[in-house]
Amino acid sequence: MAEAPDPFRQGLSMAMRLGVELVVSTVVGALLGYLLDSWLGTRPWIMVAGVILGGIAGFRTVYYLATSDERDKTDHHNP
Amino acid sequence: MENPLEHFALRPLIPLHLFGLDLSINQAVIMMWVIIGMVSLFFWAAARRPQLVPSKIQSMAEVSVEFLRTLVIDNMGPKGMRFFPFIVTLFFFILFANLLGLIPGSYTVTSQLIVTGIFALVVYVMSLIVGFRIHGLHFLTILVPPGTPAWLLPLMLPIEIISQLARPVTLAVRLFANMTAGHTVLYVLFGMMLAGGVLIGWLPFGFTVAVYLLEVIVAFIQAFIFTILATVYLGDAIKLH
Repeated sequence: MAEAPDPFRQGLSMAMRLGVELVVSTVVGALLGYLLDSWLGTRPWIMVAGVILGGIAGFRTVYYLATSDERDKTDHHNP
Repeated sequence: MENPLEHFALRPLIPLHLFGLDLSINQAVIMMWVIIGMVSLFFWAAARRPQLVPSKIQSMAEVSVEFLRTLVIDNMGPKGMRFFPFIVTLFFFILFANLLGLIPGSYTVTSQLIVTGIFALVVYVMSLIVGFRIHGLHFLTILVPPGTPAWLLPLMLPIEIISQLARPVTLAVRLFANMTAGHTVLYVLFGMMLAGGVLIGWLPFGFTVAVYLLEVIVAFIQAFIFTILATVYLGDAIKLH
């Protein structure tokens, strides 16, 4: 069953997390912007901002993940 | 044989309509029963005759439960042991769903977005409830990363809200996409083997075997990732930074 993860497996699971994280953050940002737009009638401006902010959020999450090894000992704000 | 996504379609086997809801029994429902049965059988067989020097199946169960225990304590602290039964159940259900789905002719329940979506939603809503219960309204400071300068707040707040909302979505989409993609690739390769005949068919067949082995690894890893992230999200709610 689930042994302690070897480096190959750890790397693979990390790689699988990163890609999805980027895409989904952008999509969620766009979706939020779209909903706010249809609510406030300002199409398409909030959606544009949402895509950008979502992209930033995705990169931030990936950055946190990629540097989590060094931070592991100190604080635990894992995205 | 034309549409490689056809085998994901659910057909009602026993039609059942109650209170205006379609509760028909389909392949996915039956597979979930089989999964519950197999997991129960596995642990029953493992705990049937506990020995100091464990049998093969007993040591398999012991190693994996021990491993999940360190995972829970690492990510959620000793307080998180309350969620240990939930985490173990989650891991084994997803693992067996992924593995049993690889048997030709069976059905992969984790290839349905609604199944993984509900799992992710349960984990996420649970973390929200736990967070608000332990920290009250103070839990909202999870939206402010520690050490954020005040002038950055208007920018950081929307970003944090988006990344919070993305959590359940990534959880659901990752498992669903990996399972669906893997099974589609297997289906296409196997179809190429059938179309190729004896002369050239051995080539896609070799790839089918290779991808199948990869899918076994993916089945473990995806169950593992889902469980890790569940503990991390719940741990964030318990510890709050």
